[in-house]
Amino acid sequence: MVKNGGSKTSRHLGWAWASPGLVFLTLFAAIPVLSMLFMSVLTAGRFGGVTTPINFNNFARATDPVFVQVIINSLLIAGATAFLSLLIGFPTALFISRLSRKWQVIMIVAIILPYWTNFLVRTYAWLVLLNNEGIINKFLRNIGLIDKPIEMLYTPAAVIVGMTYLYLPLMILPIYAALEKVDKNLTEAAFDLGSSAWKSLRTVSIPLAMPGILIGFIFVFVPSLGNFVVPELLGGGKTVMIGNLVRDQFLKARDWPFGATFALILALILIVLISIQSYVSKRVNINA
Amino acid sequence: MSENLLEIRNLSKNFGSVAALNNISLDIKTNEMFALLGPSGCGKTTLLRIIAGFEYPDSGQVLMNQSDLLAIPTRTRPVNLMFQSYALFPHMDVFSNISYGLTNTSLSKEDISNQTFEIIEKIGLQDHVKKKPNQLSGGQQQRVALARAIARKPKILLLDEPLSALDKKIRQEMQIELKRIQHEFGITFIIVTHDQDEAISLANRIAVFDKGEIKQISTPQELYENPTNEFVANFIGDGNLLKATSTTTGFKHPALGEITVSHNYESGKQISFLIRPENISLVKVLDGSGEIVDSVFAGYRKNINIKLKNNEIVRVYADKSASLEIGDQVNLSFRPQDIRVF
Repeated sequence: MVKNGGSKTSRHLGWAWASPGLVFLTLFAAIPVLSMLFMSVLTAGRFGGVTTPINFNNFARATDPVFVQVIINSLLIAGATAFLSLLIGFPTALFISRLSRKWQVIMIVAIILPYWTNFLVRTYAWLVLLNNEGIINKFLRNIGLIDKPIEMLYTPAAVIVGMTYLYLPLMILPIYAALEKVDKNLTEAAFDLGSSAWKSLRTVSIPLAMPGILIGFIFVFVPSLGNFVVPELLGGGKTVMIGNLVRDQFLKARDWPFGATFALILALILIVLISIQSYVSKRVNINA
Repeated sequence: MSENLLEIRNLSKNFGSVAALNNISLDIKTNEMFALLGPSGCGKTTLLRIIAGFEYPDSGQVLMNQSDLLAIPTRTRPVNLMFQSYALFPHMDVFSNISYGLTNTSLSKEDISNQTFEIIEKIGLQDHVKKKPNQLSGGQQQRVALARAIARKPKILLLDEPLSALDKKIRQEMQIELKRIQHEFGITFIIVTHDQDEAISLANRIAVFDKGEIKQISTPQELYENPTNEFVANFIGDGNLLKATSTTTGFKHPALGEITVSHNYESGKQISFLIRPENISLVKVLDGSGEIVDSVFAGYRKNINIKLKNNEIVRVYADKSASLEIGDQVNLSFRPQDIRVF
């Protein structure tokens, strides 16, 4: 009896503990996703908004090659952004994780600080750097490497560079946290057993930091995929991404259901990615 | 007499203003089980890490077979370390953990596999090959750590507090196992420990460390019977270190009286002397030099604490059948040859 009562109490307590989280998830995850789902199967109103009847035409429309191409482009650009961030972020995180406590804190603050600056300002900075009369082109011309400016602005590459710059801290921080958690004795053991620095990284540090690496990848990939400001400012509107589609459908075409369809596609991609991450981190954590 | 495998010459290492090692010299012979014993922060771990290649000394030499060991990079040193925490790779199974060091050699895949299975068999891990470290018990984890560290057939195996994480029963099992493996593989073991029982039961010779210096290097028996200084006398075994004043023929203790024993001190100096609990016999009297204040039954004997007239506490091991009770007045007697004066 006492035992039963006890377990019942703890079950009630469990719900009590979880309730703030559940409320949060319901308000900010479940309801928005469900309303998107609902909206995507309705018909567009004449001046925006949604009306009946319920139909599934939008999913058929989304498979139009034009839109499929936009989705593929978005995935490629977001993927390249995440990959470039990983290429810069991993060594940076590794470097920071090997510093003394004091310097780790200083470096982390230095990485977070620019992130707190308005992101439009940071994006405009790239306009100044990348345009034909910008610092980079001027410098290259002055040292005689080129005589005509390189078209850097308004290309997919500019979008990738700009978004990498925006989201790099989101790559560095989770990787740093994961590397910081890897027992220093394990890397020492790898050296002791004859590994080079590269092999110890490849066989010990990277596998154990994999959950953090995937988190960083998702943290950069997801906002990049949905971004519509950077493609417009640095891509000059020539590079259309899903984010631009969503915004245009809602604000310009006033076709809310179709916009919701693309938003739903974004959410689905996110769910797939997070499932992969949680699978990998479960595997690593089970062993740790 | 076997040759010196490792010679440590005038080794010093400072961390900031703290001297972790202060001009250490010692020799370790081939196939020896050598223990570095001392309280935490005494420098023994620093020495271990220098031999392993994780630290570099400020000055001094480490020679292996007369050639400079410090010139060899960590990864190619014929030395391996068994970590106190075992440091098993959590994402690899037992086989991959043990074969890890061999994958850094020029051996073929087949040779690696054969050699790994040979070690797995010798260490008795056949049933656990595919398990991950977290699926093993503490004792099994230690066996994997041991197997991994000897897989590369090092000349020296360093063991950092090898038994500290195990419970008492597995400890005793592992002690025997370590000795067997040391014998079977013919590897010199250097054990770092703060636990004198561990050092005494495992090692052929022990270096006792304190504050970055070596206090004495000797066999366990010699350390116990003939400590050369107060620190060792106190650190090794149960002992009674009592204060007395030297006389021309021995010394005078305020409660035990005059005792005749040879020493090198001038008369009238403050000295301390050591007498082990098993070397004291007690006689019950009406008014003795001390009173029994504590008596604990310890199986095959009684551990008795006596408060002397001058308030010093003396520990004595008495026969379990001795009719000595708390509150009894006793006289203490011991032979002069069992006394060590410092």
